[in-house]
Amino acid sequence: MPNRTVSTDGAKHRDRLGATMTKIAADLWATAKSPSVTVVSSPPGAGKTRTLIAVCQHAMKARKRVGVACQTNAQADDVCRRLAIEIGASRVCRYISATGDDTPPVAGCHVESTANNILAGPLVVVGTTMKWALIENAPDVDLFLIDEAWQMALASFIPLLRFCDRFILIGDPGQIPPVVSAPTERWETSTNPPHRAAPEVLRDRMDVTRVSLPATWRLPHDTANLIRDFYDFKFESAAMEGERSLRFVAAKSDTIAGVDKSLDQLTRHSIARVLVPMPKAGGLAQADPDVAAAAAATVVRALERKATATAIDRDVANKSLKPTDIGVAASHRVMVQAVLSKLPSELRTQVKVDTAERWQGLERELMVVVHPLSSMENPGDFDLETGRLCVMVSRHQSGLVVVGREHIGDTLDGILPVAAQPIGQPDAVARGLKRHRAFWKHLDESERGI
Amino acid sequence: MAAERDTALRLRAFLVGKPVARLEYRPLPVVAPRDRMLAVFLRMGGESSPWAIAWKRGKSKAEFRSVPEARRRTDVAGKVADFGDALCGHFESADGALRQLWIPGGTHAEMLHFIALRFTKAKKADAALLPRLNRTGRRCTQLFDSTQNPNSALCVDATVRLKEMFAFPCEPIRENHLGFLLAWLENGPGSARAKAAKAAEALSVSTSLDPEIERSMVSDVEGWNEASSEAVRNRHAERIHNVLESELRRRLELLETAIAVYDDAASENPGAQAISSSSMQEMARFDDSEDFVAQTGIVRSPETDHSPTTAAMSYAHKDADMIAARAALVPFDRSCQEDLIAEGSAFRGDVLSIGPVTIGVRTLRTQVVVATDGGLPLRLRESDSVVVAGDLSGKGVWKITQISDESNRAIRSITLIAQQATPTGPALKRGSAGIVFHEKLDAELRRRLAKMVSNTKSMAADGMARGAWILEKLAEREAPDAAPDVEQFDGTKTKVGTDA
Repeated sequence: MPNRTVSTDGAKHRDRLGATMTKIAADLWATAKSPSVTVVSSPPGAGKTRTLIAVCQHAMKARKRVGVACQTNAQADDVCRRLAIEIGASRVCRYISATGDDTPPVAGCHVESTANNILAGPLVVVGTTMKWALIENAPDVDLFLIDEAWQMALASFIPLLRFCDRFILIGDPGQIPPVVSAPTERWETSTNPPHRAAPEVLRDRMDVTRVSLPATWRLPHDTANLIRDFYDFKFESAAMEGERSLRFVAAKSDTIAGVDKSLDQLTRHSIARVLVPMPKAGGLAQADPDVAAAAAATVVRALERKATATAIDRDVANKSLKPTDIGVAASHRVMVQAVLSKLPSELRTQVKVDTAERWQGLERELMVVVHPLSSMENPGDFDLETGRLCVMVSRHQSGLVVVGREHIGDTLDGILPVAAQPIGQPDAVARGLKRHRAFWKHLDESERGI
Repeated sequence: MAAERDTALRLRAFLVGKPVARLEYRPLPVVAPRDRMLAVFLRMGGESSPWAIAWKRGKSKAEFRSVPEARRRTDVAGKVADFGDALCGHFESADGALRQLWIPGGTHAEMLHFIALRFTKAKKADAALLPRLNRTGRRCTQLFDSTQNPNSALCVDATVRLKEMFAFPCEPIRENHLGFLLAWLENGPGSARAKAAKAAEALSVSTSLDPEIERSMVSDVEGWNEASSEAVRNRHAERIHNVLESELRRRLELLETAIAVYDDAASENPGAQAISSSSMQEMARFDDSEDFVAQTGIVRSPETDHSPTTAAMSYAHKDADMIAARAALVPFDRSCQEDLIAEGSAFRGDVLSIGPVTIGVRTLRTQVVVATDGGLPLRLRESDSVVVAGDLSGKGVWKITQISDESNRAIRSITLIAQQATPTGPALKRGSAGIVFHEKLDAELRRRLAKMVSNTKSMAADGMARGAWILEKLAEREAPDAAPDVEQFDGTKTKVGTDA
């Protein structure tokens, strides 16, 4: 069990990180006093929204007006709710589309669809990027904050330049890039690719202030070390070594070999894996029933073995995990469906099973993840995209079980990147492959106890 | 098309031994012969310029142009200019009708792009030739773009359109050969079709010649280059032209057959009218852009858009075009609806209940609960907007408020609330069966985004956009030594656009 010494050191560590976060928010506000663009890079669970709210608090103290652009209505509602707690609901306005739901996300919060009706004075106006981008007349704001900015394409950012001359873009560069439905070949070599994430283009094309958040408050210590490779800046975990742990009661005679072994491994590391043998005959399907069964069995087994989580850094001691504390992520919808079909009916509504895209911004104590390359013996660019893997392996607070077919290591060894990217562009596929290999190697080593 | 549906159709094609229709209706208009121009190209191995070009307008005789030596740029430019005059004339004389250019396949589309890249901004050529070449380049830019745009019918790639219309009993890679596809589409038993397709596949339809044919021409090309007299040169040139003409003719005939087959494949989707209108607007926009070029000398790059606002506008329009094409076709074509269902962007179900519901304090709306197949994956989520397939106004929008699965997951019930007081579209009642709800295909939002980007540009120019300074920074053309570092696979960094 973790000891108190670790906890005391940990408290000091977190005090230091908390102070850094406070200073970052103050510095961001100071920078925004003159026309500027600041890009804040954040690892998963590092307090993006907390930072956004802290900047809003500074603005309210200075009696200024702030515009906040979120990427979805759900995110905008969530920001309103959190802002209401910190600055008071009367200082928050939810800016909706003319046909949008006018129910306030939190009592006392204003809801408006036209700029002229929005109150004067210090206020935080929260809308989706599309709402802000498509309006002719915007409410007057002194500063614009963009949440989850890596999910916003440059094309959607440009219209915001009509309303404001200072921007703070906050997001996680390791996440899945903006959804693009149109073919983008024409703009791959453009100096301003309109389909790329706005913060990326701004960082490349102009002198922006760059800030990174110092630590992930979500991920355990060893996971933070592992996923650091996915980012081009340094960060640490707010939890120190040994502060997060999972415990399971001993497996009984009906042991499910791979699953129980992996769960036992979670008592020592935050990441373990379950390897499903290759089928004796026939090929592999995208909706792999054996892997789905293994993922479902891991969830069931974790509950049967009465999983408990301890997180000293979060003052959580021996918390019994409920189905709602567990989540399952997969790359493809058909696999999500397959996992759901293998879960016992009573768990289906409680255990969230969804694609990596839908898991962005969410977390669970224990995550079970179907490896993006499982059953993909000839993976394509979609499968090798690192954002998807990064999202999937950074949703857990205590433990992560990666489930996949045995071929994954061999498949990764056998891929020869063809560098099909346009001239002058980074080889994203090969970079993804490199990270995939590093991640898989780590799982190999931790299984062997290295 | 969703991979699962594609596989199922392909297996069915294997089973029946002939191509099976993927779509209920033909999604693209086929204009009358007088409004049609056909073009095919040939290139010399290792060269990207056209070695020979053939075109045909309406019922007139086909025109053939070739040069004996494709490596002589000046000669090639002359032939391209001839082709360009015919091509531009075809579209400029439209007189209110939709005009089309048909090409046999992807390599011919690439040739249009190549002509665009080489000649749009060409600066060195005979003074009389240069404006003709530049104009040809600009027109080819437009037509190449059209081949990439499902909402445009200006330039039609016959191979792509036949592949879209039918599932063939073969591996997908083999479907890129127009002769192969046409042989499968002939009448007769499966074995005869398969044999004919295999034979057709042996003859090149792309812009490249069969290597054996090209090798057989080497002596004439060399002879032409080294000829000591005009008479000898002419003899070599004639022999080269004859071979090239015969190859062009074969491709042209295949293309004509492909157009007839495509035209007969099914009746036109009523929604294709919207694609025709959009193509007409595209023609008008091109005319406007030609006026702009004449006034300012500013020509859009055929390669990419460097200006942030131009790039963003083009991108938003491209996105809108993708959506608009689907929005035009889906209401009428049940196969398109099946595609959306297979993708998870639509669901089919039976109405379990329908009735009024109060939202907030006093807003009255209609609520329906639909039972669907719980086994199908669904991309749609709660709070997404959908419309009923067949709602031609596309304005009867329903919002998904709840998705719940039965314990055995065989049935999924979806609750929807109408966004309008009186929803448009087919009347729903309790017990209505097989109703398809699909994602709202709204191209207008993307068009509006393009408009707002345009507004931003204008406001920035007038000093009215507060963030204009950011736009200026983005628009700055960078000096080569200021090019950003790009991280490569091995961790080394290189400068954009350099070999260093």
